[in-house]
Formats: sequence, structure tokens, C-alpha cells
Amino acid sequence: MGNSVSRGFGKLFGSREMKILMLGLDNAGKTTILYKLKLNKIKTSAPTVGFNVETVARKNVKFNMWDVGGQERLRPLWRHYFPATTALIFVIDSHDKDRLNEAKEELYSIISEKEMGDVVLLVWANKQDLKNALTPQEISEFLQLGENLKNQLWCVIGSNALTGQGLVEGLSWISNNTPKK
Amino acid sequence: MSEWKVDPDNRRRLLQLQKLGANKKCVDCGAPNPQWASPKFGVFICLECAGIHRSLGVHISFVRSITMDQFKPEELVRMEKGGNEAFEEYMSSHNVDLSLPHKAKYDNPIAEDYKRKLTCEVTGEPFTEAEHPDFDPASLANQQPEVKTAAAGVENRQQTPIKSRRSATPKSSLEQRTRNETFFEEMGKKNQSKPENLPPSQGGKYQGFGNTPVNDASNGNGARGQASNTLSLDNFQKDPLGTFAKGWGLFSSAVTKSFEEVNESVIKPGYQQWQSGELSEDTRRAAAQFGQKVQETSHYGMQAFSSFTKNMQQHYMGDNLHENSPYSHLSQVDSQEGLANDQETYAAKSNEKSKKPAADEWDEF
Repeated sequence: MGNSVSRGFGKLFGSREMKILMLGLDNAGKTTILYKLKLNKIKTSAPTVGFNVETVARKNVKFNMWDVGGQERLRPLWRHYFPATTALIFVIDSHDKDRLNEAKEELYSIISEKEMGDVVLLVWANKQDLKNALTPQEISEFLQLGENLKNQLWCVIGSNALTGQGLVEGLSWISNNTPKK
Repeated sequence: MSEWKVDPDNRRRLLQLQKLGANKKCVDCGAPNPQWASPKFGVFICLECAGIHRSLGVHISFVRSITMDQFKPEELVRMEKGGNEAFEEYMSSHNVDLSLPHKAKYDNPIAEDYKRKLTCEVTGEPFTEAEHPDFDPASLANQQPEVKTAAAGVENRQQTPIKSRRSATPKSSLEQRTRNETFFEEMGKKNQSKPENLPPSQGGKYQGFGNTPVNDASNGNGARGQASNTLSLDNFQKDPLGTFAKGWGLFSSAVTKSFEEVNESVIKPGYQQWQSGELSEDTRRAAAQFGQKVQETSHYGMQAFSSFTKNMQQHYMGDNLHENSPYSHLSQVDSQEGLANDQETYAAKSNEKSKKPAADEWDEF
């Protein structure tokens, strides 16, 4: 009972819970980011076959983060995770220039779905530690979100999952840009 | 995200290839039936080694699943021309120890050459081996894993035994969580002081590019910043609402905590006492009595109900058997309602009436 009462108080006083869906091509670093945030550790990055879900608490916000595998065959399954999503995080390997276009296509096909019409979009330009990685600004320009997204909030932030840089900035942006229920 | 299509012919070729000779085992660890591949080297690898290959970066090794990814035509040819055996032969003949850790084994000039050789075989160009006068394969064994700033975990990962890697997600304690929070907090603070005009890979600031950060830049919150978690007059003047919200947040967490304490210190012990103490003897008896009462009552109810239905049945049966007697009763009822005057016609009617429900009831039973 104490639990449910405290949850009620939580709602009154601004602590929130939201579902976050983390997608991206295979080997973008989704799982690494998830476990860096959850455990502050680098877990093995064996390819995700299926999905991982963890709750990450920051300040008074609980992020239920869903990380779904990005292999080609798994991508048609992404849409089954769409319902009730507050924010979409799209992770891009900034060093994988050959597949940047593929990533862009996948991103647009996700946000063109009706269910994803009003989610806030955060793009993590991951692997910023690599020397030849594209900068977040270059990624941002390449994705052309400014021209194509009229009604949606979006943001591209550089990140480095190994050290954790950029991750907090991303989550702060999400919690600052989602309605406080 | 569209439908997943794969050329059945490609798939068949790949699966056949995986069943040939040395391809049946992971080229790195020897695990049977590898389901992953690195087309750059034309080798088949297992899931665990695929994870390590991925961490090397796409410029060194690029991992594909033979069941979950579509191979490009040239990738497929690389797999055909290459294979685990060809890779092992080439590396051994150039004195590269195959038992080296992944990083040393795949990130060196010889491995680079092998990738180039495969490319030449695919395109049909002649392959000329490059000279590496400065490179000694024996030095690879002594190569220290590259230490990236604050990325010590990367090397640990390679030495973690597979079993422990596969264990379920460890539960993080509250202490761990606070430690994590402070870690990321500090990371954010450091980020604040970095120059904005440089890309992050050159020591610049991690910052967002996007539309409309909700909070204004003046108080340092928002898309780029760290929300400071303190209640101060300064903050209050700049952003009264925000500070209030923060205050409530702190208050609510305090309330939550105190509820947990109450639960731990009052409710739980009380419950335990109730379970074990003398009190429970009485309570149990009372409960048992109550249970008995319920049983009795329900038994009584059941009896009443069944006797009622029996009566009804007898009543209807009697209706049919002794035509005269029940009519009087029914006609009384009906005449009270002022419906019928003629007893004869009425009798016929009511007879029909009473038969019908009886038949219905039988059907139901």
C-alpha cells in the first residue's frame, strides 16, 4: 500500500516514468549505451538477437529503455515496439560512413509511421571517440531533419558510449522536452 | 523497416559454404556452427566473437549475420573466395599467431593485406603483396591493448569468460545507482567547460543540434546543459517555476522514502506479530468459525433452493395430473387481478400457461 501511495505522491510532485525506444542499425552501439547508463560498465557487445529492456532513473524521471536488435531481419519487428513510446532514440555509428544512408532511410521509415507521429526524437551520433568519426553537426546536416520534420521535436547529440559522454545530455534533453503529466 | 527480403539463392549458397571444412567452426575460438561472418576477412565466427569483432570498428571488421542479414553480392563472393581455411593459411604463412587476441590479430598490416588480397580476387585484379620492412609479426604478441581514455572496460571485456558474460543482468544496488549518478553528473560538468567550436572527437563539447530546446540558455538548463539540483535564491529568481518543480521533486522523494520506512518499521513487524503471537490463536478460531458459518449458510441456502424447485416441479406436475384442484388457486390469483371472469376458458388458458414454463425448465435441467 505504501508503494501505491508513494506512486500517487510521485505523480503529484513531478516524478515521471516514460517509455523510450532505442533503435538503429546493427552495431550502432545501442546495447552498449543501455548498459553504460544502467550499470556504468561496458558489457559485451555481442549482437542483440531480440531486445533488452532496462529502467534507468535520472533525477526524478524513470526511463524505461527498450533496446531492440538492429539486424536487417529484426527491423520489420521494430514497429511492434512502437505503442506508448514517449521518445525515440535513434543511434548512429558516426564512423560507419558507408551505411549512413541506410540509417537515414530506416530513421525516416520509423518516424513516418503514424504511431510515432508525436514522439520526441533524439539522435545519438555515437562513437565520437573514433578519429575519423563524423561530427554531430555533419550527421545533423546529413539527416536533414530540420527540413523534413515540422511538428516534431528533434535533437542530434554526439555520444561516446565507452566513456558515457553525451548520454546524460541526451536524457536531460528528453526529460526537458516531454510534457510533464 | 520494410519487409525483410532475402534472395533465397544467396542464402542457400551461404549456408552451404558454412558447412564446408574449416568453416564449420568459429575461426577465432573454434565454437561449432558459427552463425556470423566478417565478410571483410571472409571468415565465419560465433556470436561471442562477433561481439568482439564489432568492437574493433567497422574499418577493421564488419560483422553480418548469415541468417539475419542480407549479404551484398560482393560480400558473398568474398566469403566464397575466402573462408576460414584460406585466412588461417595466409596468416600462418606470414608468421601471425592465430591465438592472438582479436585486436592484435585483425588490426595489423598483414591482416590489411589479406583484406586487399580478397578484394583483388573479387575484382580480378592482380594482387601484389606490400612490403612491411618495419613490421615484425612477433611484436604483436607484446602489443599492449590500446588504452582509450576512461575506457578500461573495453579490455576487460575481452578477458571475461563467456559464462560470466552470459549471466543475467546484475541488479544494481542503490549505492551503485548513486555512484552512477554522480559519475554522469561529473561527466556533464566536465562537458560544460569544453570548447564548443571543436568536434567531440577532438576534445570538443558534446552538444545537441536540433530544434527548440525548451529551457532558455540563461540558466544553463536545457538541451545542452545540466540541470542543477539545488534550491537557491539565484535559481529561484531566474526560473521560479523550474525551481519550484525541483523543490517538489526533492520533497516527493523524501515522502517516498518515509513511506518506505513506515512500511519497514511499522507495518511489517505488526504483520509478523499477528502471524506468530497468541493473538493468532483467537483470530484463527474466529476465522474458522466464520468459515463454518458461511458453509452452513450456503448449505441452508442450497437446501432451500432445491426444496423450492422441487415444490415447483410437484406443483406443475400436479397441475397436469389433477386438473381441478390447482385451477381454483390460479383463478383466485387471476381474479384478484381482475383479468378473467369465465372460469372455464380461463382454466384452459392457465393450463397452457403452466405447462409451458415447466417444459422450459426441464429443457434447462
